[in-house]
Amino acid sequence: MRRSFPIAVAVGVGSIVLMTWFLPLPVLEGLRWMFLDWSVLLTGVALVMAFFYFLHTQWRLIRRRQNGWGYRILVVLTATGTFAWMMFDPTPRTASWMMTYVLIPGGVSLLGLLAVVLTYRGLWMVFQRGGGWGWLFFLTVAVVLAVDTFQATQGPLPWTSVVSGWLEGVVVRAGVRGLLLGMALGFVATGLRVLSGADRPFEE
Amino acid sequence: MFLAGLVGFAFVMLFGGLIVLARFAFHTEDLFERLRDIPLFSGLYEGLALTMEAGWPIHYALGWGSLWGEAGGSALVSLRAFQAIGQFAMRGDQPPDASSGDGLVYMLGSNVLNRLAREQYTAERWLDRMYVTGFQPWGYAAGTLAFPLARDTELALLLGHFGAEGGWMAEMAPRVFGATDDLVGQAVLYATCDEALVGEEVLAAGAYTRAGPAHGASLWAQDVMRWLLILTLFLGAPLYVVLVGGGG
Repeated sequence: MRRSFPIAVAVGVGSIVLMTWFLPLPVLEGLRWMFLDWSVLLTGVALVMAFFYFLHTQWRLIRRRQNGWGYRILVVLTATGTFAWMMFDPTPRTASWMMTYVLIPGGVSLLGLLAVVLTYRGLWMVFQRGGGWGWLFFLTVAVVLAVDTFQATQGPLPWTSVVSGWLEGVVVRAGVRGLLLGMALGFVATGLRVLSGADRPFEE
Repeated sequence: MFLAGLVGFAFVMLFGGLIVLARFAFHTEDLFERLRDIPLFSGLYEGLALTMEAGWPIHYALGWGSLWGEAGGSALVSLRAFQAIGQFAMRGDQPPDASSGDGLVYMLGSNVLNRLAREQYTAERWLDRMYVTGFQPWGYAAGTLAFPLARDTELALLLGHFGAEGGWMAEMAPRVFGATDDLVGQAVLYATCDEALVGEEVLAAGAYTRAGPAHGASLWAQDVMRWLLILTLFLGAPLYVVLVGGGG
């Protein structure tokens, strides 16, 4: 009973929301929005719970003097400090400051490094994995796209635009649509497993 | 509008019916035996065994996708596969580390790992090995990359929601396996990881790690639905041209 009750609730609520998504019957519409409102509220509660669970775990590791405990003290102090700051000044200005001066510069610098990693790994893939004609195709596409990007500012080389346009409009689009169709089926299967109670991340 | 909804509902019901049919019509082992070989999964268990035998640590990254958003599917599959892979990795001398960039996935992952540690009677040493290393994609990548500095991670499995930052994370260990539901991430992981999954293969991770009979059944139903979809597309395109008229 202790295990089956939350599963039954999740399956019941999930089924109603799914049904109203496809069949917007007025009788069920109100229920759907009520459940969705509850889920937004629960998401907020879950986020706060996750934060305190995180602090609790870090504190336990610090007390045990596990590997990297000094770093963990820094993490706990930073997390608590940011949380307190946001609580006392919950204006968009504070969040915007964090985004502009901490997260975005960090992300952009890592993106710059990624360009180096990808160039190196692209060449690695060509020489290590590119058996047959694959490597030739990869290199040709890379060169054509690079030339096309270059000519946009330096001068006209019309044939590269035609080739890259065809690659992006036909080959890439067809490939992406094929992948997305397959993934959509996978997402439906995953949803149905959760809905039927076969996948239970909420059980533990 | 109502007709489209009805067709969609019938599609989902048919899908669900096929899963139930496969679950009861086939033996679980038969469903798993039907799976085609995917190099990542065969290489993963071999890599895990070799790494564990050599006494090196393993890292399992669950990505930064939330259960509530579009990445919920890959997060769920990642959590399910984590149970199977974590159980296998617990047999080694070194406890596996795991990381996530989402609060809820972190809590659920912690539960999985701590339960496995208690089941193996190793709770004292291996409790709390799940970490939240950052909440933004790049913050998560940077935080997770700090692990090899402390523990010389030998093998890493990136399974969940990763974007372009996955390419950077692929540098965290000598041997890295990658799988994501993000198309940009898939392209990047294909170039940077030793083995990577493409398309919906990431959502089949539960079946390939034998996480439960429902995973094998849903994969079988997914294959049937794929063929139905292909048939519909091939028949529907000429029908559309004849009935509605083609051209721009």
